[in-house]
Amino acid sequence: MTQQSTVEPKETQYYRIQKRAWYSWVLWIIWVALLVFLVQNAITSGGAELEPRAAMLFWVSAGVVALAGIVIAFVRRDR
Amino acid sequence: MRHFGAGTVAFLELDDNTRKLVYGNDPDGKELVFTDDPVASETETQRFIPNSCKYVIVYTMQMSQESMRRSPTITGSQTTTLAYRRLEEVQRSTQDFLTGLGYQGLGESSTNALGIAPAFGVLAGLGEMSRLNRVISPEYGPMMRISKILTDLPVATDKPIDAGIMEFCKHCKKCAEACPSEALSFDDEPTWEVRGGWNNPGHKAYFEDATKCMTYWREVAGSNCGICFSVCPFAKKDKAWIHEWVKMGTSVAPFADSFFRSMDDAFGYGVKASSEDWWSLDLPEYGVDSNQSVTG
Repeated sequence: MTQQSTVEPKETQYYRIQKRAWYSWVLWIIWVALLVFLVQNAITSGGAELEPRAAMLFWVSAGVVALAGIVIAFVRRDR
Repeated sequence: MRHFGAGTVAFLELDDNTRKLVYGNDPDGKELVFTDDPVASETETQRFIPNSCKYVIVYTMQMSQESMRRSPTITGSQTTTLAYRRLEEVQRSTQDFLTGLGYQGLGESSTNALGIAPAFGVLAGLGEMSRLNRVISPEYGPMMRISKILTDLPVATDKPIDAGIMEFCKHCKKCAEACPSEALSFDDEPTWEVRGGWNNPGHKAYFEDATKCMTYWREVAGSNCGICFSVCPFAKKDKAWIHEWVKMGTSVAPFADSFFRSMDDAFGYGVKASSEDWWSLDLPEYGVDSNQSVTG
């Protein structure tokens, strides 16, 4: 004759798997494309084109876009 | 011809109108005469062009934007001299090639001889006329020189293009503002009215005051100038992707031309660079990227 365990589980964890909306993928792809575009312009402006001011502006723009994407991803991570 | 070193190449057929673009006299004083004789010839006073040589090969030679932005200095002007010299080499090679095929190639007897190069360039579709009163091409902007060869080799001819360049010039005026002698036109629209005997009438253009320009060269700069070329928003090395997008924008969205001009200023394009620094740059051959006109 077996004895049933009467020990309660310490905590219960729930995991919700939510599919990302299709437009979310589109926006992230646009973000990556924009970032690649800005970085390419920054690298070539400072390098082959020898345009330091343009390079600086492109690097700043790329940084802003990158930071914006990171912040948005962080803020939306729990949704 | 690209193998010989030419940048872009196009073809034009001489008709009653375009034949007028051939000079009456070459710079050495010899009269240019069209003749029914099938073979070109020359005397001490005349050069005879066969009527059968009714095709014009129009071709460009890229100049170094990195040199020209040193204008108005010898460092800036030498790219012009180098371009003309290279055009001569292309002419000789092309003439040899045509002769080998059994055709004639009548080139320039000296720099800018034979006919009006910018006019041939526009009509052959290499670019558009501009506020500089020179040709601006989608590939090189104004950073090029043009030459031509008359031939009896039958070729498929090209047509003029509309890449939004002339339309952009209406709103830009960056060259006119940068010109230290104020030789370039500030008119919003091209006009029929010439500014002096140095201009060819009969077409609408932004005619320049060439005497002011030449006076500046001789009395102030001490060399050829080219400031107008170097500040042009179309004078780019085209390494950054943004330039192709801007060119696309100017061709399809002329309402944004003023914005593009403002951005060109904001991003610091067209700013003069130091002649001393040029010597330490690691530049490609001839100071240009020969792939800049390759689209395929």
